Amino acid sequence: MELYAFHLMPYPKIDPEVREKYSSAWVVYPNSEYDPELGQQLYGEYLDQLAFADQIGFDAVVVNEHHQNAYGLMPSPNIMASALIDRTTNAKIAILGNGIALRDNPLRVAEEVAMLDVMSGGRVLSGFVRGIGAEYHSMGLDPTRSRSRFFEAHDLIVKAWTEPGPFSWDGENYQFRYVNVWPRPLQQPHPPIFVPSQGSAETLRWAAQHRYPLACTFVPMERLKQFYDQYRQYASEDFGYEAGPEQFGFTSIVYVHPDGEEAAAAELEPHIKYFRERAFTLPLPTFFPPGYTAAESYKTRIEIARELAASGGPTLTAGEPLIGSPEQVGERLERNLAACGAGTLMAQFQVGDMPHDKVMRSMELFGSEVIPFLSKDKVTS
Amino acid sequence: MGCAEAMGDMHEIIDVELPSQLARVQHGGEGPPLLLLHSEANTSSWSDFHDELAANFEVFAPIHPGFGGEETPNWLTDVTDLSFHYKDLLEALNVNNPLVVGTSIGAWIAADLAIHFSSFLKGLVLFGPLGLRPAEPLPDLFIMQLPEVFSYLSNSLDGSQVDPMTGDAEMATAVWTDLATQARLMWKRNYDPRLSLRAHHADCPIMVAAGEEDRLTPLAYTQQYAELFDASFSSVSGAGHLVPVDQPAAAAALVNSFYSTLEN
Repeated sequence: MELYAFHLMPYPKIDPEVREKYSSAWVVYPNSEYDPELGQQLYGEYLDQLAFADQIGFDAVVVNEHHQNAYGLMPSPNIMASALIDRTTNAKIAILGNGIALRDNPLRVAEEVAMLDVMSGGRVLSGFVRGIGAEYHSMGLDPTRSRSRFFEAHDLIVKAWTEPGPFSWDGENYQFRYVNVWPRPLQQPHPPIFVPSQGSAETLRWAAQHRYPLACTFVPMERLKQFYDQYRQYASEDFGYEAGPEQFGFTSIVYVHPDGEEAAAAELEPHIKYFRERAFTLPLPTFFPPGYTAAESYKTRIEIARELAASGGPTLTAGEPLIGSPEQVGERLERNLAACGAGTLMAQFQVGDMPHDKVMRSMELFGSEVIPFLSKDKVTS
Repeated sequence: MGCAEAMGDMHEIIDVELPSQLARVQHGGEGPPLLLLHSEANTSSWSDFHDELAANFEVFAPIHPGFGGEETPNWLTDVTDLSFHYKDLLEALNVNNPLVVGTSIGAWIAADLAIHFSSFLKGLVLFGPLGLRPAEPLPDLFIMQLPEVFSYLSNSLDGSQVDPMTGDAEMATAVWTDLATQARLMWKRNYDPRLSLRAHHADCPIMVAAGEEDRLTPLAYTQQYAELFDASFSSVSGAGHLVPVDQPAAAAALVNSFYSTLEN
């Protein structure tokens, strides 16, 4: 079992009256609402939380990329990863991921991740993402090119890391006369690549083909099982290997409280509400702009949007809620992983507008009373 | 030319192999040839407007590549790709000297077709043309909910039908896939910066018309378009941006009267 500490670094002061005037906290929510002095404090606290995860024995700390929103303040995950190198000792630094299709020059990602890998002594896990639909609005990028750019950028970066340069690249989306990336990564042949997935067959098959672990965020347990089963099927039937638990990870909100589930849920509730109602909401055309996906997948999205509207919002915990006493959280965590055959839990301790001291209390309890309980069966994959 | 399948008395579908891809053409009516280039948001099917035109013209109404439920094709990068696609189509169909009628994005294609090949065309009628650099950004159709898209395009289309949450999912998807190909053509720039430099190459008679209730392009935008292309200008009452969708009879009457001014 692997434990990753997942963070979104949200902006915790979304004013409900201002927010009400806009369709979303993404793309159009005005940046005049951002207070840079509060921002400095937040970056400090959020980085301290991830550094603390390293101290209490987490296997990795996780950063990610989102643009022009109050949901997550990491438009450049590589800058965050760089800040974490000196604040952490043992934990891997998981960038989940770089939005490679969003870059007009994917070689910048090859360069930056190689720099991070060398600087950190080979502690980088390199996730690659397409970027959600909102990023295409924010970056002025044609979403109909998104899939093609993602796959080509991936091929280019991996080749830049693994084959001697200089070589030339003449692709549909990217052309370079000279590809010759300095520095090269420390890990050989390259830092481990992770991909997130919302479950499209094309992505699952592609990930299974390359043996890339899936990192799923905010996916309910029933759908996780479907995705993982599909991946395992591709692996065994099309690519001739059995996919193990180390190839599957997912996020869950975690909140530990000495008095058990009821007390924990009561304390967590306002922050979940903030996250769902003010930070997360993405209107369908923002989340899925025209051409971002195939027509069939859009129809599925309509179904999911209708389900979500009926159920009151996104599922933040896959399986049994990891909210309660250390014993409850530990037992459920193991059951949740076992339920879908996953090896990695990406625990999200900070949620919405949850303040630093609350996050740290929950993390301290997790470190002192959950991790030791887990470690008796802890299997390093 | 490929197979033709009968669609009642009114029109048939002709499939034509072109260098770019297969073209699907709705064909009906008798008279001088007319190439009809449709607008966005699932408005490509044979409609009242087609019937009105077919009373006086032999109408060729192709579905644009990447519209009408088709995935956005890889080869398509800009509007000029479609000009060459339609030049190839006219040659394959052996259609000479047609009147070209286009609406919105279809009018932009018609204008660009004339810039490249006006000597092959009788004239142009452009309803609510796009493609010119606007003085102020136009409303962003791509971030709108689909019912709102309809409200910017038309005052007669029923937006509630395409609400993904409560409407018809199939119809919403059809509008969304049309918007996808429109995104390919218009996401980065919803105009062609070269249009004003090239407009004088469109050397054929041109009429531009705007709906008086157009919410997508301001009247001044469409008038500027008419000036740039040295075209006559008309406005149509009771119509939004998609004039032939909102006022098919009035739009067809404009086409007929414009055609009557042209030399044979």
